Amino acid sequence: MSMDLQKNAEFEKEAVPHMDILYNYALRMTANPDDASDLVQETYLKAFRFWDKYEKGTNIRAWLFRIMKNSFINKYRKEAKEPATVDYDDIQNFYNSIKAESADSNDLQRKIFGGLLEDDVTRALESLPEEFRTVVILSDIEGLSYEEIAEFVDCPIGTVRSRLHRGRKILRTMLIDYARKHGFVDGSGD
Amino acid sequence: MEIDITCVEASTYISDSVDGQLDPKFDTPLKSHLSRCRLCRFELSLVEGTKASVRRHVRKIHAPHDLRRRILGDISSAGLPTTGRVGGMFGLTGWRIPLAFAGALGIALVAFTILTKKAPHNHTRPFDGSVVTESFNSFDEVIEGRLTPGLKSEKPEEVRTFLEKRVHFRIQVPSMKEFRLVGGQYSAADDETTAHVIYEHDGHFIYISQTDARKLVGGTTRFIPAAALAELRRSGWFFAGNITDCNLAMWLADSTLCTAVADMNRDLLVANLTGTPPR
Repeated sequence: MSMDLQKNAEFEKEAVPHMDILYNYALRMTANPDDASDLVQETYLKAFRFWDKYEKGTNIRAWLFRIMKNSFINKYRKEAKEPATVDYDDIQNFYNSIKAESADSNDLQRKIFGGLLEDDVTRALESLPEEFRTVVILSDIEGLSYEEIAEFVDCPIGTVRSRLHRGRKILRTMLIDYARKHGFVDGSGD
Repeated sequence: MEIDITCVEASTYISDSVDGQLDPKFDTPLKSHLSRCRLCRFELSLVEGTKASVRRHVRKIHAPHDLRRRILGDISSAGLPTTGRVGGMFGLTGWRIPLAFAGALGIALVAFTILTKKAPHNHTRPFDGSVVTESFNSFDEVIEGRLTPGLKSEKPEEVRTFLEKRVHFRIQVPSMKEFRLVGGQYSAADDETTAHVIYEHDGHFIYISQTDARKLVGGTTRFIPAAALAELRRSGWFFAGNITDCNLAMWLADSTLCTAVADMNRDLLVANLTGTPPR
């Protein structure tokens, strides 16, 4: 088998099987199936070009993920130069009010999260700032460990833990806000 | 002896616990704290509820079937056949080969006819990590209004200062005879930054992408094509383009790699950039 064919076979065997996890991540980052497909395609083309730089035996998913993250930043952050921001003040006030008056946490959990729609959760996730969204996706959707996520995003485990903690806090304030708008919980705090 | 933990510590351990990542030595202290603290129990229920909502509502989706085909096609067109396609010439043997050549020639002629008539603003190329490709694609973003300056200023010094505060290499803002400086923008990917300088005249643009050449040559995720690097070393210039009169000119200024793209012929582009035609 020629070197080229060997490279091709290796790439197909090692890299292509991870397409689903990359596509899911791309979809959550771009919020658009066509953009997600383009991003995954770009990632694989780039990975193939730099296949000789991949250190065999190391975590290939993490390597592909880093290429995808760079491609995402290059391509999409140009269109949104400023990082996403969320105005949390109103939601935070409401959250504090229900936290203080809560008598039965299980009951409130059911009230808040039980009636949420798929669109609510998807929208909330998509509006998370990118660094938080990434770790929430990898932890809560893909089920990766902190150690794996740290390798994926190339930062210490402590940073992963902190981003996850903060990301979920932002997420839940948004979900509580949806619940209040749907009337599942009383938002007055009175 | 049991470790006593605060609500702040409990908050961190709750996240770890919900993710199944809690250090076992904190398991008992957390449970003990939760049994005493109503607010932390509430916190636990919110973390659990949030995680469960994401898992329940945000489903895993399989990549579209045609995506795999597209990717394998890309690999194939990158110059290498994919597995399972070995033998013959694209699977053709004997008398089919000249017939295939004739067919391919016909297709090429039709394609040539179509391509020579295509709209002028269609330079987008498949992303491949090459700084040439990126510059063509960014130029498309400029003319489509998707890449606009963060700082709009006609003063070169203002634009240079704005960009140099955000990148780690020297910025070039050449003065143009015909074209007015619109402003500058930058983008970043990890430790690589790109500066974008935009000029305009009568609805036409000259776009200059700038980046640290040392990083590109050093083998990061982006690269300078070998031909471009050889040309830069030989003559100080590299040119690419000639697609519906859209041209790219690349040159090095100290360690800054400048790549200008514009819808104009090569001589005119260089004349605008330097005031003198290229050698």
